[in-house]
Amino acid sequence: MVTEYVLRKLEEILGASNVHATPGQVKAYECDGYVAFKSLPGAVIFPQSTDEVSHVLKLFSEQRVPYVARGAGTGLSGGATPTRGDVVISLAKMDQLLSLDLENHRAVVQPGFVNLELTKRVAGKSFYYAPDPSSQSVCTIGGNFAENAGGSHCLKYGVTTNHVTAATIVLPDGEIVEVGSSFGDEDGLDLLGLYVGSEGTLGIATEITVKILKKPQAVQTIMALFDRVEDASASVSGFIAAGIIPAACEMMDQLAMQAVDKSRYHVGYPSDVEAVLIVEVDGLEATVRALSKRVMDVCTENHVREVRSAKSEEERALWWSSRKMAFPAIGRISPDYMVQDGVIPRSRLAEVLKRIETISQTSGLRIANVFHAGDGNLHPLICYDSKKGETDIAQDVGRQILELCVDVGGSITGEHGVGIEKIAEMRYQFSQEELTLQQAIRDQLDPKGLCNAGKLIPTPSRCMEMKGAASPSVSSLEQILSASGSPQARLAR
Amino acid sequence: MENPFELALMTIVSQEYVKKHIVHGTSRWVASPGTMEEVVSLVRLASEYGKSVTPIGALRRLGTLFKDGQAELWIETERLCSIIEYSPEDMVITVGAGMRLCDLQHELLKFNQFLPVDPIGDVDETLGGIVATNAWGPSRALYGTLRDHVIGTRTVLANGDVVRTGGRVVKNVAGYDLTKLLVGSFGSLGVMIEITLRVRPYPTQRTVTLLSGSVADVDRARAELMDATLIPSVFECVNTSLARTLTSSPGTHGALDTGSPLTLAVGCDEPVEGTAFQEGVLRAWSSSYSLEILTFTPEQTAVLWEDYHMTLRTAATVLRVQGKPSTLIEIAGTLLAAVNQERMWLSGCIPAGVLRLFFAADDDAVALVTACVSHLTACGLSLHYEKLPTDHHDFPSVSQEIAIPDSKQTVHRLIYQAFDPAGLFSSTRLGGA
Repeated sequence: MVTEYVLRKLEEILGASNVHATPGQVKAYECDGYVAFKSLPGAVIFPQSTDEVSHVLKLFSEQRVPYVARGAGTGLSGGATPTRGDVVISLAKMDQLLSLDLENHRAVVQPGFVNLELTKRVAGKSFYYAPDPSSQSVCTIGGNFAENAGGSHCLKYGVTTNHVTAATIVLPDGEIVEVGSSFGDEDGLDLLGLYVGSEGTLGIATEITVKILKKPQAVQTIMALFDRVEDASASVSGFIAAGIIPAACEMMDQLAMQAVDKSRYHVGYPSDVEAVLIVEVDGLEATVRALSKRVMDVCTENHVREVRSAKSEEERALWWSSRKMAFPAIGRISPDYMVQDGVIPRSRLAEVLKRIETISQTSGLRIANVFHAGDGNLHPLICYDSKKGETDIAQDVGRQILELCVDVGGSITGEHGVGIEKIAEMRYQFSQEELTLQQAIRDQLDPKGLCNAGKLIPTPSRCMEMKGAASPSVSSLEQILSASGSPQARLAR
Repeated sequence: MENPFELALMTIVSQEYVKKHIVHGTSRWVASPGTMEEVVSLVRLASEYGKSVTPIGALRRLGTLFKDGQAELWIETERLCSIIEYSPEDMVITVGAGMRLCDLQHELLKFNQFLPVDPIGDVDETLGGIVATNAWGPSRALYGTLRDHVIGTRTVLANGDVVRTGGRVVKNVAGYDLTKLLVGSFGSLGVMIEITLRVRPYPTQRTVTLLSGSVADVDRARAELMDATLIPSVFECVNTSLARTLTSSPGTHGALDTGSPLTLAVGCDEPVEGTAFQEGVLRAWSSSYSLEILTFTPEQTAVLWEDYHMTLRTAATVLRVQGKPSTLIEIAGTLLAAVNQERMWLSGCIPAGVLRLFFAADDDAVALVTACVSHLTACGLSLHYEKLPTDHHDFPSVSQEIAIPDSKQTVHRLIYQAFDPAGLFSSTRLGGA
């Protein structure tokens, strides 16, 4: 509950037009891209500068108002969803490109600046910004910073943390601190490294310095269709064994291909192939052709049915759209779907896909697989029908898959973050000592527990409450989060 | 009479792995544990006896930069040197923190892979040491630093808890990225006992081209290279005295007019066709900008980098300067014109925006360092010592303790409070105390 006093103070800091508090105004902020849980925020505010954010956080600290920062709201783990009537701090109006230094390969942006917009601004000079999550046309660099977003090209080029060099952070007490170093190395501990991917739980980034790269001289995109998933997986290992690090290496299985072919991004995948690989190699013109041939040779050695390279920029764009739009396309074959984000060692790909198939058969739910095969980041899309009461089964299937990822030496999340969605699985991946250390850091930096509270790290109290797991009718998130380890309770999310 | 702490140490690790030193009348111990359990017991023991702890590898880097480096217990990780897990197919390896970098590279090469870091230092440095200091060399231009290659650790905390940070997969955003905090933390957050690294395929060949000329001409080549779509694996600016060292071996001796003030070393890890293309472009620039050019074969390149490291690792003092890449050549040029550069080596990774000055241990070092500091400070640049000789009291005090703004110091303190509330490990170096 946000008091009248707080609202008045917010209006003084930000102006009345930047403070929204009526149910109609705040309804759109009740969740992010993770729609399984929704909760109305106490208010939504739109600061426009670092100083305004600082003043707001000082006020919130003083008045003990919980809050959550939000970029474009495209996150898939509930990281920007309010949970206890939090104030949503929308950074949508902090959307400026503050400076561009092409000569030194740096750009400084506000957190609300859209990812793809940066590439568009520098493309004329043959530069680009490398992290490319599927939502890059709308997601913001601030959101990418908070989640340490990846994308299709991080196999070769790394994730957000490898491309951010400095940031201005407003701490939960309103103090402003500069972390990182535009050039060279940060003095002292790598605070920037801690802040990237901290899911907005340790403060709010208000200015972000990123690297911009020169576009590769040449790019070649290859599509390979396989009769068997195992052969596609073996090809991925074959690339590495041949000393090739593709710029991207994506895989979709039969169900995902069928779904995306029903969308406007129709490629015309043969209905009986089990897997498609989209592989991209880039670099100097003098080397890309040979690299491309080696990729195709490896596919041939692994019994590929058909392999070819894109003949035009249009064809390449279609292939990429087909891959990047695979998530929403699942909506065409299933009333509801849930996407997971586990990571496994690449060498275990074929084995894990088999086990996912077994989980699918046992549960009776179809699972489409779309993933960054090169770095082992799986995105199983679990198809279900909530109207048929299948939500709890889907949740349990998701849990089984994430636990499988951890069992083979992987992680519960490669790029979507923990947020609300995977908070229970944190206990599966981390020991109590490891969680205690993470919580200790959080307690030090946000002692009042106001900054995106209830996300990322499960607390012992919730663990206790988990035992008394709630029924599907539970509506309070506190209870739902508390119970999130049990399949029955997860149904309510 | 035996010291009870020492006796207790010997119940954890056998006598041969405990060494006692008397420094200024005070006892210090170096213990070499062979297992994780022994590290845990040592940390708990030190905590119980109120003894400060510093983890060390081969003790090549910490040196005098630790103001409080006289920890009472030094935990040496050299015996924790095994390969714990290596999956060439995943390009991921986990090793004990005491493994030497040269041994790691040797193992990786069996699978035609390598860790693309080349820190300037001794060949027997441990992974733990170079990770704790985030040490780097010329390969940084293409491959980044250890910050980009370390994906996980196993670390013993001040309370004896053993935690895993990160993981063994290349993409992982579960929880806070504590691995980043540990890289470059100078052992101030805990004892790293295992390190997981992302490695890469070894390039089919590695070559280098040197471009020498006037400051203005080298700067033009710098600008061209920054704006080009070439893929330099090294993009290093060196001064005359270092360039002379690099071209002193048979086959390249005298091939470069080392009278030029600056030289760009441009590496290429591309296959043969790519190397030929890149060298062609560099050759064209050399004629456009009156630069002398010298191209090295892969064999000569290996010798060149050996010479580079052999020379620079002898430096007793290393000073670091950071700035925009577009300013570094000019900074180097004016500095070299202002001081006697015969007595120092300059090497800078241009795209990273870092110049480093290496000074030999001789009688003139203090005067030369002072002149450099004075010149660079007047240019408004921030400077940091990466290395100082044992007796460094006459050196200008640019940053024996790194100058960190108050707000950032506060965050440091909070993080140390979370990791090590009793202050068991040394954190002064990083502004934690």
